[in-house]
Amino acid sequence: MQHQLLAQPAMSVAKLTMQAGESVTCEVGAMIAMTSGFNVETTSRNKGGSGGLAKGLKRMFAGENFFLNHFTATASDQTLMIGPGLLGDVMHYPLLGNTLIVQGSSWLASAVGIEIDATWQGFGKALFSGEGMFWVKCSGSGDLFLNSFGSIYQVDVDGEYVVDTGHIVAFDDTLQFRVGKAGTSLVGSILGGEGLVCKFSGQGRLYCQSHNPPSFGKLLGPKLKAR
Amino acid sequence: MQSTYSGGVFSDTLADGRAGGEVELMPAGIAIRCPDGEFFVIPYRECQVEMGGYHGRMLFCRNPDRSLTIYSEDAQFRRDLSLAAAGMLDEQLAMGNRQRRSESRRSLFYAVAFVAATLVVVVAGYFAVRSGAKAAVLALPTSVDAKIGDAAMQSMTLEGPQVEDPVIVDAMQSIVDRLEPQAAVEGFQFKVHVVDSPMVNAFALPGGNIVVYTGLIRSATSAEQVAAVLAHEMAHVTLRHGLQRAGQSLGIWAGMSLLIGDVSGLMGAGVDLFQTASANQYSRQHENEADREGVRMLQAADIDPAAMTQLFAAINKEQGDLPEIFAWISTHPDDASRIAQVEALIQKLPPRDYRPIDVDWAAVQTQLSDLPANQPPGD
Repeated sequence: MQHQLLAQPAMSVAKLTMQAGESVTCEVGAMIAMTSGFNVETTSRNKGGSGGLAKGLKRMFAGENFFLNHFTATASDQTLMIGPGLLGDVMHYPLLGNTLIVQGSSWLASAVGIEIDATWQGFGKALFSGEGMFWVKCSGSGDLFLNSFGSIYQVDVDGEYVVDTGHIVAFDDTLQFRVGKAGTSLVGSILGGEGLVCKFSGQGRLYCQSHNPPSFGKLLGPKLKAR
Repeated sequence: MQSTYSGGVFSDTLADGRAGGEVELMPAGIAIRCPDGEFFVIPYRECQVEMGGYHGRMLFCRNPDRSLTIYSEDAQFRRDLSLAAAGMLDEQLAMGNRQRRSESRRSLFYAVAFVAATLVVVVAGYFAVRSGAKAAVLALPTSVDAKIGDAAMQSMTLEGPQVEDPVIVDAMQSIVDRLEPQAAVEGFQFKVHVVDSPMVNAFALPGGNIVVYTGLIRSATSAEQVAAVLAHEMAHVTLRHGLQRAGQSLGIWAGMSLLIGDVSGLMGAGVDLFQTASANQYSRQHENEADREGVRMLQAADIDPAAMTQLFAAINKEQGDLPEIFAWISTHPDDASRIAQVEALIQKLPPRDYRPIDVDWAAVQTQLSDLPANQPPGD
């Protein structure tokens, strides 16, 4: 499978070129266009693998869809265009046996060799991190495509790093994070508009998005006409 | 001992800065073999151990200048490392474990504290709304009582046909009219409905509709005794017990909507509640209040309150035969202690010249005996 990311960063789409027999698993609704030589299969389990009802439900809690779409090329040089729902970036991440923790709804597509599972982020974090209750855990090896709202930037964390809640796209499982206040005083943090932040520690890579959907919604919502 | 553990490595010498791989515990130290053939070793004595990672269960082994880090999340790796390093790393491992345990204890504490706080807020909020609704009910205008009472009166099923006989109905209304000026609250329109039924019962709906069964009138040997019952029922109305009961029966949402001024939930609940006459039971506290207020009204209207205990006694004497029809006593619980309480109340009253009620009681009784419910069975 070859990939090409087009129109980055604001309105990115991924163009995947696949040979006969190659498969890719995509988020439901991610397909924009494709050539005719694809076999599309919709199930709740990973391609040729485990999962099913329970995994589907866990994915739903993680902010993803119950179902997954598997695209399998039936002829050579088939192209598939996939893109995110919101205006934003698409990121390619080659997973090499390691594990990436992805914010719910940021997962776009992955190669067959990647296991998609939901992982509980812990009680305190679930309540305050501004993310879903679960994260999507991607492990295995192969190509992984993530999407974001706004553009994605990468941070190599060694030590500590602070991200506002809602701006996390993905991070290595070698990183640990806590939810804490931005400043030394809670009142100050809230008045400063930062409120609670995610504090990462350890060593690993962190991917952040430049915008976050809830803030955007809050700005836009009042301006929309009631239907 | 397991031979390899899945893990990874951070190193400046790697093109990407890191790689996944298989961690091994070798005699020389902790080693990792990457899929592309790279190989790294950290000698045990130079190793610095830290816990971390997403779940806090990942073990990081670093060399002194932190240029090389080998990690694994395998639980077995932690145990085997202690053995392989011959105890050299035990102190660091124990520290990491302590740190992890204290962190998990702390997050458990926060979780428990949060759940407890949520529970407290929910429970306190529930009772606040309930008691708030109770208080808000009393602040409502009396027209709400009347609306509920009238609607319930229209839709309720009574135990028999309504009696229109002017002798009986006028007698009842004249008793009520004599008591009405003594009502603690103005603005209630008291209206008596007489229902032809052997049931010895009477009840009041919110707002002033009072239903008296002919069975009760027949049991009474004087108009004063019926006046005692009517005074008690009017007291329920003026003390707004009906509305309070409707307020108590409100669910949490209707209670909240009442607090922000929406009475539709209360009206619905009230009409539902009072539609069934048999459900018309007040709490012990409300009954006692109504007794006290009834006695006060009787006294103020120059009617002898002792009639109340006389009626109790008369009903009690008859009750042996047909206990189920003496609803007024049976829905008014614990009559023995109640009679004692009423008697004690009457004892304390200052002496007063009582005026008899201007009703021809014998005529009322005669009219009553002509009604179908009072005909002997099989007639």
